[in-house]
Amino acid sequence: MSTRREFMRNGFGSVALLCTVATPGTLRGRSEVTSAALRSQARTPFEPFKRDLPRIPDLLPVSTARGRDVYDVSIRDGLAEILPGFQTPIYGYEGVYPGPTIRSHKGREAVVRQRNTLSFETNVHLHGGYVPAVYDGHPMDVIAPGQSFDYHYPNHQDAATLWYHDHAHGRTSKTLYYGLVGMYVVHDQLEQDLDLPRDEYDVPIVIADHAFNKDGSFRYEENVDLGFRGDTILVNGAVSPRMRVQRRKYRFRLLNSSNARSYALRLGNGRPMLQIAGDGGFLSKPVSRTKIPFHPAERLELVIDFSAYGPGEELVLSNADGLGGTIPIMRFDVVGGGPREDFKVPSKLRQQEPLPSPSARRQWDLSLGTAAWQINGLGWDPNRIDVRPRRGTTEVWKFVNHSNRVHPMHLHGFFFRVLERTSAPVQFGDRAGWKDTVGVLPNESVTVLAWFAPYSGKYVFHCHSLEHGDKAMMLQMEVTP
Amino acid sequence: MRIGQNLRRRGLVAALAVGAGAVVASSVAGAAQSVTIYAAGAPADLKPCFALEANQRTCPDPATGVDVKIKTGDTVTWDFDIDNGYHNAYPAPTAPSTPPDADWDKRKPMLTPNGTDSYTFGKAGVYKFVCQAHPSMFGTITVEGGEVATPEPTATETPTPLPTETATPAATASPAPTSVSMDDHTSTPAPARGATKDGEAPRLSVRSVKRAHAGARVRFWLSEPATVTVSARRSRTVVAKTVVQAPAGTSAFTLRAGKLRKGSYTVSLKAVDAMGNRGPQMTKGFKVR
Repeated sequence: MSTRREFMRNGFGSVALLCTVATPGTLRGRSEVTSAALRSQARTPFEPFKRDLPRIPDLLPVSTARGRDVYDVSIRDGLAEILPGFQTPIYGYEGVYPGPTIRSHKGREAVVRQRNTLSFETNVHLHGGYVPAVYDGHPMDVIAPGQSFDYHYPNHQDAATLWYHDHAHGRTSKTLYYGLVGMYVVHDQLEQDLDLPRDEYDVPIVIADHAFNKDGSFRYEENVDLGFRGDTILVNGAVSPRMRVQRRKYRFRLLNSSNARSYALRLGNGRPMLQIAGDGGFLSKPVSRTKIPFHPAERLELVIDFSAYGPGEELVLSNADGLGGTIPIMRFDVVGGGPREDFKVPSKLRQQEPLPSPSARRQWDLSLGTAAWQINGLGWDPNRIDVRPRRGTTEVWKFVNHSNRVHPMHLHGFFFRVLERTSAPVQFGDRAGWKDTVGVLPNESVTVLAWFAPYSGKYVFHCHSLEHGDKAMMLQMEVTP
Repeated sequence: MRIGQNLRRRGLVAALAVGAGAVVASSVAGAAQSVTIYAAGAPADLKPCFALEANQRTCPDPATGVDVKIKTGDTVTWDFDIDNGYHNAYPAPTAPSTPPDADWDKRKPMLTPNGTDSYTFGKAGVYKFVCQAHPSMFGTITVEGGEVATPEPTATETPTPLPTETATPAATASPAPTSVSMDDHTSTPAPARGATKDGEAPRLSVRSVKRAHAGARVRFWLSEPATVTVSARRSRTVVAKTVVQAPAGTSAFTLRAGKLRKGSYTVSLKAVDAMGNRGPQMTKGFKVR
C-alpha cells in the first residue's frame, strides 16, 4: 500500500532529482517533510559548483618491456557516485566513469587488451587515432561477451587529445551514455619542447549531458530525431563542478562526449580562452577565442591564464546555448599565491604539412529517409562499400545538411581540414589544425579536405550524434593501397 | 475539439467518454469513416506522444499511447503539423499486424516535420504503430468487419522528395563482416544495480619509493584494480600529486615532481575501487641528499 509518507518521500525525491532548476528553498516551510526529503534537500544534488572537479585517473601499464606499453582493461559494470548519497550504475572501462586516461608517446606502440565482461558485444574505437583498420573498432568487428581483444596502437602521430569509446553497431547511443568513454592522450617531443603547462596543470575535461531517475540511475530516453538531451551537465563525472586554480596558466583538454548536445563555450562574461589544439593536435599558432562552438566528439585544448585574475575571483565556464541545468559547465575558483610561472605559450606551435592536391570531389547529402537518417539516400550496410579513396591522396568532401539538426560528421582513421562553410567564415581554430569531426549545422554545407593516410583498409564515416549514427547515418569506405 | 466531427455527428461522444484515450468510429454500413491522430507535445519534447485532439502540448509520463477502433474501409490520418520534431507512424517493428497484413507491414513512411500521412484499412485486425524517432509515440488501431477493397496503399503515401541524390561511387559488395553472432544489437540493457556488489576495500602496500629523474619512482601492490591518489610532501608542502588507475598486483610509475630540493619527503597512497570502497592511506618516506 502506498502511504502518504511514501508519496511525500518519492515526490520530493523526484523533485530534487529530476528538476535541475528547482531550488531547494521552494521545498522549505512545508509542515510534513520527511527526514529523507530533508536530507536530499540538504544535499541539493543538482546545485552547480558543489563538488570539486574529479581528476580522471591515468591508466598504468601492466608492462613497459620491449619498447611498448601494455595495458589490460576490463569493460565492466560499475557504480559511480555522481549525486551525493546515490550510486549510479554504469558501464565503465575498469568500471569507472569517465574511463581512465591512457597516455602514450609518439612512436611508442601501445597494446590495450580489452576484456569484455558485459553481457553483450562491444568493441573499442580509438577516435582520432591513426590506427590500422583491424584495430580501428569497425562497427562489425566486435568482442563477444567473455572474450578479449588486443588493440595495437602504433602512435605514429603528433601529440593530440584522442578518446576511446564503444563502437559496436547500433548501440553506441546507449553504451557511451552509460559510461564507455575514456581519453587517450598522445605526447611527443615537440609538445615537451613547447613548455606548455604540464602534469597537474594539464587537465583532462570530459563533458556530457545526462539525466537521472529518482533512484540516482542514469535516465535515457531514445530520441532518434533530436538525439538524447539531458538536463544536467557532468564534467569528469561530477555535476557542474568547481576547480581551485592557482594564479598561473593551465592547459585544459576538453572532450565533448555528449550523445547529441552541442555547446557554445563561454568563460565568465566573454573572457579570452587561448585555443592551442583541436581534434588532431596543435594549431599552427594559438588563437584567442571568447565563444567556442563545441559539437559532440570534438576536442579542444585551451590555455587559460589565471594570473589575470585576483584571488577569490570565480570564473564560470558556461554553455551559452544551454537552458537551466545545461548552462553551467564548471567554475574556476582562483586561489591566492604569487604568480610563479614556469610555463609559456609560444606564438608558433607547429608547421602544417603540405598536402597533395585533391584527386576527387564528393558530395554527401545528409537527410532523413525511410531508414531514419541517411547519407546520399543510403543507410548503413556493412556489406556495401560506399566510397574507395586511394591511400595517400586527398579528396574534397562536401557535407550538405538538408535537415534542421546538427550533424557532427566524423571520419574514422583519418584527419581533414575544414576549407569552407556556408553559414560563416571558418574559424581559425578549425582550419589551422587537423580535425576528425566537424559539426554541420542545420541547412549548412561544410567542405573539408580529407587526407587518406597512412593506412588502407575498411573504415567508416558517420554522424556522431549517436542516435543518428546508430540509425543509420553511417557509410563505409575502403581506402585502397 | 477536432476529433473527427463525423464522430460527434453520429452521437458517439458517449463511447469516447467510456474508454479514456480510445476512439471508436462506428459506421452506417458502407459509409467509410476517417479518424485523425495528431502528433502532440511541446517543442523539443524528449517524449512527445500521439493524441486524439489537435495541438496538445503536454503528454502523459509515462506515455500511454492512443487506442483507435475502426471498421474495415475506414481511413486513419496522422497529422504531424506540430513543431516538435520529425515524426512518422511506422508499423511497430516488434509487433506486426495480427492477422498479418502484408500491405501494412511493408509500409515505410518517412520521418517528416509536418504534413499528414494516411492509410485505409481493408482487413480486420490489430495494427500497432510507433514513431521511428520517438518510442514514446505509439498507438494501436483495432479494425473490425469484413474485408473490403482499399485503394492502392502506396497511393496514400506522399513522401517528401529527397534532396537530389548524388551518385554513390563504387557500391559493390564486399566480403561479409568479420563476425557472425547471435547479438543483433537492437537492444542494449541499462547497467544493473548491484550486479557486482562489492563491499571490500582495496588493500595496498607500498613496496618502495626512490628518487628518480624529475620525481620519485613509486612501486606498490594492490589487491584489486583501483584508483590510487598519490602525493608527495616535503614537511607540509605538497610537491606533487596525481591520480592513477592501477591494475591488481604490483605496479610502478614515476611521480613527476620536477627537480626536488634536499630534504625528507613523504609519499602517501590512497586506493579507492570502482564501487567507492576506500582503503586506508599508506605512506613511505624517502630522502633527497
